[in-house]
Amino acid sequence: MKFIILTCVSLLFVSCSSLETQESKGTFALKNILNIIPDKSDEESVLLALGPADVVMPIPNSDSTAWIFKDKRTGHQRLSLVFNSEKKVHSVLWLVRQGEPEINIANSKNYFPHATFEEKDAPWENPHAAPNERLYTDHEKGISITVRKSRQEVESISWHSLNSQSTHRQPAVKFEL
Amino acid sequence: MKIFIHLVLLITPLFATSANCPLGEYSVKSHNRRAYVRADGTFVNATVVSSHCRKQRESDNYWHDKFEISRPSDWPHKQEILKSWTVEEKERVLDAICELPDSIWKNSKYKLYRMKKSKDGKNPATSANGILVLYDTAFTQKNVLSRVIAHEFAHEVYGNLKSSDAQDYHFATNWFEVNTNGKRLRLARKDGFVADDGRVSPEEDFANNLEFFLFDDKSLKSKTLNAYKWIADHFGDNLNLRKCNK
Repeated sequence: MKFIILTCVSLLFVSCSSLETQESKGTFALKNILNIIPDKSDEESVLLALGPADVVMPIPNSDSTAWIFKDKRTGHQRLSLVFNSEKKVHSVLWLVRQGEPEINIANSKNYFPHATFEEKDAPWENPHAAPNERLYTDHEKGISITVRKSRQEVESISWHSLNSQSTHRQPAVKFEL
Repeated sequence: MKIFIHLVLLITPLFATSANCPLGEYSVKSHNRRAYVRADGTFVNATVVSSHCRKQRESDNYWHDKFEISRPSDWPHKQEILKSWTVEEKERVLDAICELPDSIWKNSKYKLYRMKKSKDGKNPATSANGILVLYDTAFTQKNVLSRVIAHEFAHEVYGNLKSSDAQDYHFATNWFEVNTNGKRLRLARKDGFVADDGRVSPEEDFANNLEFFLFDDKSLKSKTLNAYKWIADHFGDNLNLRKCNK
């Protein structure tokens, strides 16, 4: 009898936790995504929580893989995860949608009450145009929020492992205008 | 007598101020104009332009006082040397902007700066927040000035897109974004770029595509039909070059 009760309770627990974490078709919520912890969460736990990614692609010049999740309504990218060669999450990037409270920088910062953000413009990478981005970064905690300067809107919220990956951005082959 | 004629020729342009021109016109001092190419591909010969009054177009009204003569205080490229605008260059810029659809410049916050040479060699222009710098190469025959300026306006247009529109452009043109080591990394589509530097970022890709939409739509359609369609849908029928000949 004890075994049956224990089994039922276990099944109920698994079912509930699955319901709590499994995101319904593309309608992700940031509060749930924040449970994805770099270096701890792995492919299996992400698959359980979010289901399969819409796009899986290798990160150029690295052993990492990107999982892209789209908003099912619009098809726009909503979330990306980078997994290291050990299939652990290296980084999480959440794209904010128009009309969400997180589009306001103060609201986005509130998700990280213990963070200390350094604020600065994104560095020039394109040789002939300045980036339209203001970065709010807590280097110690590996958190960054990107604001679209011209509109004062948060574009993305991301957090990453403090163990660096060997990925780096590739410049264009040549400059053209 | 000769001295007198020279003196008159020298002084005359100085008196050709807007006060001498009818309402709605402004004065243009005499100047040497180099040969150049209009937006529609028409070659314009070099000539000496005598001082005259010129009708002030809508774009002139907007841009006439945007020519800056001092260096932008926060310009990061210290090695780039500031130059003064010549009458010829100002006229060329005003003509070039007039040829562009007003939807890409009407909300512009750019001020116009003139510098000698880009730190990136032949680069004809650089833009940053509220700053558009044109270099010597922008005024050579090799570059169509209106095209150069259109590209820089396109950067600003991209910056002013609503987040949802920017994300929609990324969706249409197959851009993804990830975070690696705290930096945003844009993952570009494998091919379909009208210019190779479009791989750098969705913004550069957008600027190239908008430029090609205006100046070489055949190439854009053949290389990135999705970008062509997106721009056409987003801007409607108002995105056409204009004739702005004198």
